[in-house]
Amino acid sequence: MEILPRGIYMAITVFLTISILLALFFFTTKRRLHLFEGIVLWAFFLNIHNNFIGFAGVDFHLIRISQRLPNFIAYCAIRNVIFPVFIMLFLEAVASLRRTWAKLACLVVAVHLLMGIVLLAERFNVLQHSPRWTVGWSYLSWTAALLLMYGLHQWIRRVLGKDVIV
Amino acid sequence: MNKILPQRFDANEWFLIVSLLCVVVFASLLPRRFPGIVTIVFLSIGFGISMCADFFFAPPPNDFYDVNDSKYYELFEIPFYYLYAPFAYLFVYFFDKWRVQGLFVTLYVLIWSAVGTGFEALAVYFHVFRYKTWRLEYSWVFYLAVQSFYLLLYYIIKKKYHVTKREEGRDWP
Repeated sequence: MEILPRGIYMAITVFLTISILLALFFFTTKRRLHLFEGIVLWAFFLNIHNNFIGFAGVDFHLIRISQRLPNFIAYCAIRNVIFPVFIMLFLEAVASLRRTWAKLACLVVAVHLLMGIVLLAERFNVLQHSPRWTVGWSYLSWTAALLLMYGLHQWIRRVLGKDVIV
Repeated sequence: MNKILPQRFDANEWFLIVSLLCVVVFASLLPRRFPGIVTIVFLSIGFGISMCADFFFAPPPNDFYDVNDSKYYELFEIPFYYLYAPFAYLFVYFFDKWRVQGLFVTLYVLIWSAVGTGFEALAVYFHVFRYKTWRLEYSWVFYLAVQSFYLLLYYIIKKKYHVTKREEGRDWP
């Protein structure tokens, strides 16, 4: 059996703690999102993110996810809980803003915070970017992901509004 | 690019295309039962849970199995995940239509888990899955757990729909 280095459980502790606290906060405070919106957004985000990791990470080795189980579980917590909940909070914030510049400012802040989570994951060896990866690609990929999620949210609100009080 | 495209366009790709077509056509031919948003939610859950599970079990460090021809992420893995969505939809569609209750709920989950495991055995035969340390028995247990969870979500979704439904919204008895 492989002897894991000291500190290997730090990542799983940190990211599971963040996941649980974030989920607790999300489900116990007043939400603007309907449950149905939340489910669809979560599934759609997994679709975008997993396909991105599948092609950029598995096929082109631009992002390497840790192959140590504790760190891999930490990555799963980031992918399945932290990113989606964070993006839903972003969409709620955007929905509450009226001015376009305020929405754009919110987008910029959200992109940087998401990149901060990735950076933290990198510091804990949960994932590593290849030397070929540039920070510009991070900006591009997160901006594209958030804009796609925003577009989906607008569409799902319209469909939802036909049958349900939003 | 050769990592993305199938190494050979053979049994596993054809199996995915034919299965997806069959299940989508069958689900579309059924009379509409749920409000539009609820249909989208049920499809999303089926799709989301399958992605969540496969991206946990298939890649290293778990590496229990490979999907399709290689360890790489192929283009044909995208339709593979879409296959689960109509499958999950059909599962709740008939549950709702036949108004399954009491002991029959357990029987219903058992039968659908058997169908799911049987379908997976067929997928293994056509090399959609290449098991390493995974076994079909584990899939059986996994389907039992996931389908039970799915039914729990079905009740929550139905309750939530009736609580937040507009007066002019589509009825879901």
